[in-house]
Amino acid sequence: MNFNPAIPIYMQIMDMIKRDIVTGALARGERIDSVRALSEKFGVNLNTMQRACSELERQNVINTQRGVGSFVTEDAQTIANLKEEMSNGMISEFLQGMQNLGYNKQEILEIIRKADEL
Amino acid sequence: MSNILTVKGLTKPFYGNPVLEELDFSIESGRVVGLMGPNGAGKTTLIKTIMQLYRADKGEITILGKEAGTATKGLLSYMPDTNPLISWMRISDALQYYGDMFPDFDKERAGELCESLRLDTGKKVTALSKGTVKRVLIMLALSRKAALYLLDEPFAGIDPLGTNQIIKTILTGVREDASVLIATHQVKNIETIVDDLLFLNNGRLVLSDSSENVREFRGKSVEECYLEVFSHA
Repeated sequence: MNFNPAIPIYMQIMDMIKRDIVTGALARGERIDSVRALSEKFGVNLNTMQRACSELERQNVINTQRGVGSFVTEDAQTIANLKEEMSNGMISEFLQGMQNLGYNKQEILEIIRKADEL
Repeated sequence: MSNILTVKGLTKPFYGNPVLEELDFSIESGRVVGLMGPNGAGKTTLIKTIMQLYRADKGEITILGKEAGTATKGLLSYMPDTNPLISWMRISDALQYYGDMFPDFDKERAGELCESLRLDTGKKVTALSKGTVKRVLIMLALSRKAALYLLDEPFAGIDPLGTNQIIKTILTGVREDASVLIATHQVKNIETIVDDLLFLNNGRLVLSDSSENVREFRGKSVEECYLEVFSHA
């Protein structure tokens, strides 16, 4: 697994799990692997994985049932919010990049329209 | 969380030159700690002093609340940076030797580790490559049920594939309540696996922080932080 070493790793793992939930690779209500199995999968230590999971839990993205396991949320609204949050992030990054290249909003819209026609 | 190791005011001079000076730090249960610093910083001396192979001239070392000494030796599992295995031994003899030496040596676990690290137990220890010797020493150290594992330069002279195997073994091979102290100057290798950092320079602790804090609040990778700290040191 390749991580950006300058960004907290637990955050990068959270993003990967969220992306899997939004794309459906992890289904609603699906049981997720144990923290130990996940830490092995991501190649990080247990504490990092534990932190990622407890943050996801705090954000209600996953729910843990004591003694049973952790599950992806069933709540469609939470998942829709995740999707929006993710797309907002991508768009603001894109806009920032385009503005750095010197395009104004009008030009950016034009470029997107052109790209769409292809 | 309870502390597995507490070090207070530790000082160790050799021939009047302080190699370790007034070190204060602790290691909590369940953490993977990177002890980092350039050559000659005092990393090996610190580990050997914790192991009671060197006697501290000043300061205290406490392991699980007990003063370090003969009684705490069984709580520590040590992987030295040199090959301590006796030259007539095969890997299978080394297993037997460790099994006789340490009551917490888990033979079943050792077998699993030999398999995952692809070690041929019939081989003589003198016939092994440098990288294989390291893998044997890691296997022996992690087969014990210790509270604290002290690994001295586990990646020195190891190719990337071997490094990955060793990292994976460290990640999966240690019980949740045990801690690992890894001494290394190869910062990149342990970037994603260490919880806490101890930076040692000329026998003094120059930084002690969690690696996620370094990333979150300094916006730096562990390696960048290392370069920053030591190029000004």
